[in-house]
Amino acid sequence: MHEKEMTDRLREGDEEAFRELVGEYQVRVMSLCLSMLHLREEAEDVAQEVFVEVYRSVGRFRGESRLSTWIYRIAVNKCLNQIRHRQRRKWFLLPGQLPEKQRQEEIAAPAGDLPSAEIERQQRLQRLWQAIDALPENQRKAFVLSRMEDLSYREVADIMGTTLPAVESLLQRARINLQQKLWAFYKKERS
Amino acid sequence: MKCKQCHKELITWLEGSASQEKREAVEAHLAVCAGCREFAGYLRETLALAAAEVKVEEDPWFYTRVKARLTWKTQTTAPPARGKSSGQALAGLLQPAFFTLLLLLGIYGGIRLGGAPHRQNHPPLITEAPVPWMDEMNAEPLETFLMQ
Ligand SMILES: [Zn+2]
Repeated sequence: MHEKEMTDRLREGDEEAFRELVGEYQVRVMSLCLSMLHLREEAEDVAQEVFVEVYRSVGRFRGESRLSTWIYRIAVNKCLNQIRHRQRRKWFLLPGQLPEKQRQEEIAAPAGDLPSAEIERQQRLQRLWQAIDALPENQRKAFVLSRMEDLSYREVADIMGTTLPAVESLLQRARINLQQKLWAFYKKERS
Repeated sequence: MKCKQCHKELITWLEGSASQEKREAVEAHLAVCAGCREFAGYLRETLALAAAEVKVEEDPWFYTRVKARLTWKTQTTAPPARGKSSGQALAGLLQPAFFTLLLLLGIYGGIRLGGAPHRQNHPPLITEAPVPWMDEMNAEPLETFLMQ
């Protein structure tokens, strides 16, 4: 369906158009949420919220950007809000309820007697997520959108509402930061 | 190129987005440096793991869940946008208030408990029948307990 037709029908509250839109974008939105949040349950929850927001605010979508750009922007903002909410909530949680702990448990849950290769895989993932989470917000957005979601620099710039050179510079800094963090983990692992 | 400089360029090189000059410099260094080669392998594997981890399959029930959430939200919150933010604001206020109350109760309880044994020295103050736990304290004062 053409984007213009899709948004027109969504504005009219056409349920079939909404179903099509969810079908078309659910994998991309879910994957982005997973890249930002790393917890499946939480990512699914936020992904659903993204579509609720899309449905409700499509009336405000002016068509100045592509529909996908607008949806990605909503998704990124929802994820960042979730991360902020998580950080605020941290003060009131028991150690076992912390997201990092949950992530470890989520990973360990199907484990039981995991082969050591699988444990190593999970540990490496943990470290990469830690390194990504430690990036400044804009670097993290740029890296996740470009590297994890495989979007072009142009699309990343549109989603972030910035310029191409700014995205390139953010990505360059993100790569160096990540490399430094991963080098520290790598050295520790080998020592 | 030195190892440190090589490390800085590795992710860009792995992504295939390095300039030709940088790419050649990295490759020339990797050809002679086993340490950087190994680290490059580690980075490549780790980044590939993450890319695989966030691959998701289409979930046939996803739409149903979104729809249910939408219906539920429309039913429970009359003005949707405001309803949510005020709900969050309320939760933000209630949570600290609850914990402050808990803390105050704890302090109050502590003072009460700390003061309790002294009260035994002033029997006239207790006019009603002693509460069971106070009775136990009378039956076995702290001093006798400690002497044992
Ligand atoms: Zn080297």
